[in-house]
Amino acid sequence: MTTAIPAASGTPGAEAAAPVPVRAQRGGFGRFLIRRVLQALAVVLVVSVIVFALLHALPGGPARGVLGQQATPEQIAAFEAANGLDQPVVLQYLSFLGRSLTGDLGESYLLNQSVADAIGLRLPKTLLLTGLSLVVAVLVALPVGVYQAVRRNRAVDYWLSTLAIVAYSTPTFFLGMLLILLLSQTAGLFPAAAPQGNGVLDVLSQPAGLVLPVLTGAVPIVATFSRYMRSSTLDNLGEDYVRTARAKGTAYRAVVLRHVLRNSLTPVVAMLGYYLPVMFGGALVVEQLFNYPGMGLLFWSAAQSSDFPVLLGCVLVISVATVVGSLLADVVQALLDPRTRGGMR
Amino acid sequence: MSAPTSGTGGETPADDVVLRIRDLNVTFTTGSGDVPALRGIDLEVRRGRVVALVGESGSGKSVTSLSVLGLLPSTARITGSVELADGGRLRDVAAAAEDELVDLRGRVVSMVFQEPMTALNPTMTLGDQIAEAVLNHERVPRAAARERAVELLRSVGIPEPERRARQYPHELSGGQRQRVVIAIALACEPRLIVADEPTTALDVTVQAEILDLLRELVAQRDTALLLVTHNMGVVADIASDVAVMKGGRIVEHGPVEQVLLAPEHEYTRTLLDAVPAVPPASREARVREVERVSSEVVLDLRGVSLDYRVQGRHVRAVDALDLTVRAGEMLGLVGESGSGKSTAGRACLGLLAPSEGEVLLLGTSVAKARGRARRRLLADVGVVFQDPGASLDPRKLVGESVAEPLAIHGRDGRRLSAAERHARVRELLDAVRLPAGAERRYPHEFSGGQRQRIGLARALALRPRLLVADEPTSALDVSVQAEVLQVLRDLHDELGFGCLFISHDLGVVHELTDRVAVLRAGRLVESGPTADVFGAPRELYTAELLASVPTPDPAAQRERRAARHRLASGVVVGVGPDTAPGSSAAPGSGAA
Amino acid sequence: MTALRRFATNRLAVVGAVALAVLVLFAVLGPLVYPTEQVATDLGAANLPPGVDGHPLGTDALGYDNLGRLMVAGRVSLLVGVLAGALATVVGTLWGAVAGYVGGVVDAVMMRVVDAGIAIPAIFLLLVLSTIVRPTVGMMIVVLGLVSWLVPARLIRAEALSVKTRDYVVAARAMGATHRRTVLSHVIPNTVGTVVVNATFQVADAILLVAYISFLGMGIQPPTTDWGAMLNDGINYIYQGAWWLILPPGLAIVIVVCALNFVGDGLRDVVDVKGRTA
Repeated sequence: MTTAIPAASGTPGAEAAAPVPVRAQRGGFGRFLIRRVLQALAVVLVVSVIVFALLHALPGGPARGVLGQQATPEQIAAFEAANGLDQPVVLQYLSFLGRSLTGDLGESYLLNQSVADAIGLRLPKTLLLTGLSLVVAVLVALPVGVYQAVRRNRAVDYWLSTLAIVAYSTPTFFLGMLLILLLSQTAGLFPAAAPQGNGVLDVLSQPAGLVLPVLTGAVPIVATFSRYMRSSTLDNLGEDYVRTARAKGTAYRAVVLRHVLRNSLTPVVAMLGYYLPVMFGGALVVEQLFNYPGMGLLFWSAAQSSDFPVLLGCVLVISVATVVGSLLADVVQALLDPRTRGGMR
Repeated sequence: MSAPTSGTGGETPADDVVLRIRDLNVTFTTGSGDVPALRGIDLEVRRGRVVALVGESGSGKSVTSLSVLGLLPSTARITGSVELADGGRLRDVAAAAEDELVDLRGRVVSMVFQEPMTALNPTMTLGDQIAEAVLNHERVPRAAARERAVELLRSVGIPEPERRARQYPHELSGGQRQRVVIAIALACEPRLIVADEPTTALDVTVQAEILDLLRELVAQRDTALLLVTHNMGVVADIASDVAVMKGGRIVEHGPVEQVLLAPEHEYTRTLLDAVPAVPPASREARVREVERVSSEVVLDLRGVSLDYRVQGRHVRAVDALDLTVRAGEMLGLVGESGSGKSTAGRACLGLLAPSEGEVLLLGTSVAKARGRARRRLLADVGVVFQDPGASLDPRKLVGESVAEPLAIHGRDGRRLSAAERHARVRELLDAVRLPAGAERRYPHEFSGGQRQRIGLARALALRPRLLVADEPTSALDVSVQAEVLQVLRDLHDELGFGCLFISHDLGVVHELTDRVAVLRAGRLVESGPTADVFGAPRELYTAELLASVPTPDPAAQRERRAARHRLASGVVVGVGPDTAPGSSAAPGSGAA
Repeated sequence: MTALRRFATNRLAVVGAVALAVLVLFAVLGPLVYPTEQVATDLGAANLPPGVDGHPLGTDALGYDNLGRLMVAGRVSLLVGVLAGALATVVGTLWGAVAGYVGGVVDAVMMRVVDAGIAIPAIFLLLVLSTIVRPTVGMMIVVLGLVSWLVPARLIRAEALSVKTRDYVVAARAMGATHRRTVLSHVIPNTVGTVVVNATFQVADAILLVAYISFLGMGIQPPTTDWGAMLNDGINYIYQGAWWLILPPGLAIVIVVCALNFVGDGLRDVVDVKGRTA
């Protein structure tokens, strides 16, 4: 799925739209790391405020959210007193923050399970699905992007670019439906239902069922990242060092593989971190479509039944995962670049 | 063929010919039709010779240099021949297939580029980048290639070559990076090195060192050098032969003394006349200016210090600077990149607040003035910046840009009517010699020199008492620079404003200014009447700076070079500005 | 004039513009030419394949004519998309421009808020919001606009940061121009191109987001429908081979989003060239 990022699809504006990175320069890697971590903490804090605000925006407030729509006024009053909801908002927020930090995200009132447990059971499966899609996508997108850049403005580049826009404009669920129609219903190659089971291993034991969900998740990533890779490679092919390398008698192929590839990858790695929220959003749709027992499906069923503790718990966990992912991507990018890495010594 | 082709025409190539270009035509195919870049170039380069290709932008000199290595883009259509001597035979680059070119590049011919800051791969060690050149052409173990890389670094004068070989480009200064690029070019001992503006991005002192290095290497190794440059001083310093290019043709060609001292072609003469020179110690009094200068001080810097914050640390860009500019006077502020001259200029405009000291405009502190008072103060100051591409708002008509100060301030305390404004804009554009109708066009329709004149018109719209000009002609060709400077000089004579003229170009400052202040690493080295400072510098640094500026007379340049070497050997050996990291970025970029 | 010609040299952009015009006409004027019953259900005529009983694209499970439904659904998708995209562009532009121009602490705080907003996947946030507020067309526009302004905010901030340091802006400041004047006469006119190009992509994204929410069953409630909701309704019949319930709305989304992306690319060519020659 693609939402919330498309303007950045491998376009010149993409890098500009990327999160404001702490420019790691000669100041040193240590300083960069500290600033970047602080920045991530600030973001997590703002996220927690947003989630807290949502909790209070629930119809009837958090009490009704937790107790359900059938709760009596007496029950609500008792709940509010017991949970300190009659206290000032700031104190409430602090206690919410404290509970969240210790992993206490409340109880699902449908699953007969704590929210933390519910998420803990499903998050690994979502990470597996997303991770597989990402790996498949990157293995396709990077070579395609480089190939397009090398063949820039030829017919093949033109068609691949157009194909990428079309793939990118196709909603994930529609794509999934088409794949089910073609590969499952018509050709009968793969099952349309995703593997079921409690653990990651259960899921992995049914690889055929994973094919369609992984493929559906991978296509939009390929569409986006082949464009990023193309534009990043093009930028680097225009750099002076390419000319220097050619002038010393390095064959064009070797110039691309030995010099350009490494330098083009660096910004794309950072974009991967930026793309994480989109990938998690995509996982939700894929899981719902294929009935894959991950966190997306948990979230979707919770939305259907207004299971607010689960909904907000998922939002919090996913957002923190996103922030941590972007942080890692930025750190990896900094490590890949000797200009920032140098400061570590 | 309009070009005298003294170096070519031999029917059988002499043994020592390393490059022979014959009737080379290059045309670029673009979206809006064919653009011819070279029209019938003939050129020959012999072993051990340094042939300079000079011309202004668009003359085709860079296209010629790229065609020698077969590095022209695929949009280029080529006819004629570019033959390189490889062993006993000549191989035509223009007709060669890519794998043949890959074999020739680096082994028979190699290249040094203009921009050392970007010419090296930022993510590969210097040693590996040099070793790659060796491994491209010789079947030697990787370790042997690495050892060769260290040797090459040593031979181009990089201290501690073993350590440097393991470093990345960003750990070296611009001058050192250029030495690495030269080491790469030398790696396989090619017969010919092509150098495209190899010193243009460097400070003058670093330029002088790189030219020394190239001269030595060519002499030691009996390599030929094809040097592309726009700088006549560089030509005089190093070349044995010169070809002058204009509009894709060679208009004059011959030994360096002949072309520079007794040019035959009109264009060569124009080019040489336009070069602002620093003459050796002459003390002609500049009576005219002295009369014009009044005693009124328009700009007064008192102990001004300016700090930058980089990664939380304070870096002092300007340290306790004292300067005054009087009405009717032109003060040159010179220095190399990183000297803080542009930063000082911005402080004079009230764009940066000094951390210590005071900037007084017409006796009032800019930093303290607020609101209306500040605006009134700034109405008496005009500014011209370096980059002609960025100084005008691309979305505004030229007339609107020139009228902007009028729109902000009105005149004599009242708003101007549309007609009055229009008349004033026309008057200003006339003063900077722009044709009628210019005010109704957009900046991109004008050349760089024209845009700088438009910027000047805008700066002078309110008849300011002070003009701050920050490298206003550094991005221009010499002949265009001469035009813009002439306009500036005329208007200065007429209007009598005080002018702070910031430049890295000592020649321009010498020709233009009454007094000069020399800045180094944020500190004032010395100041005084331009003729005095340039004629008999009191400080060693000023003397070195002056001796580093090459003059377009080969004999005089030899003397100047000798003088520079004497100065350098008199001081600490081996510690030029080149060895200090960060001492050379693009000229004039300053710290701003 | 020249801008139009430059746009026209990008063939895909022209194709996109034409496709967009056709789809808008189809949705807006279509029902006038081809009126159908889209409120009352007709279970007697449910699930007809294309061509039967004068239904060119068949009927769905409730007996609505599929072609007519495609038209009225298109109205909702396009309306929500355009208005939500416009809202996101306005909010994002103002936020980004202020952050970029003012800089410093203000910028840091404003951008952390944006980072946080982006860290929460839009679909998750939208699903939570639609459990809290009942999704009507108006509500959908507001909610979508409020989750989509983040990317343009980042983009415009970067643009404002870069315009702010150009010599002509510095010159204006040195001439004594006020902040207000500098922003109005230099910064905004020089970022407007980026804003317009981005708005196109923003509308495309909003249309996709509406489809996602509706597909997940949390969108605008029946009998109002949009293309995403049509797909959601149709998915139950996918195993019976009812392709006519899936392909038309799916393709409509793909075409309109593609068209907007092509147009956006074409507009960017126009804007970029102007910037380059300057």
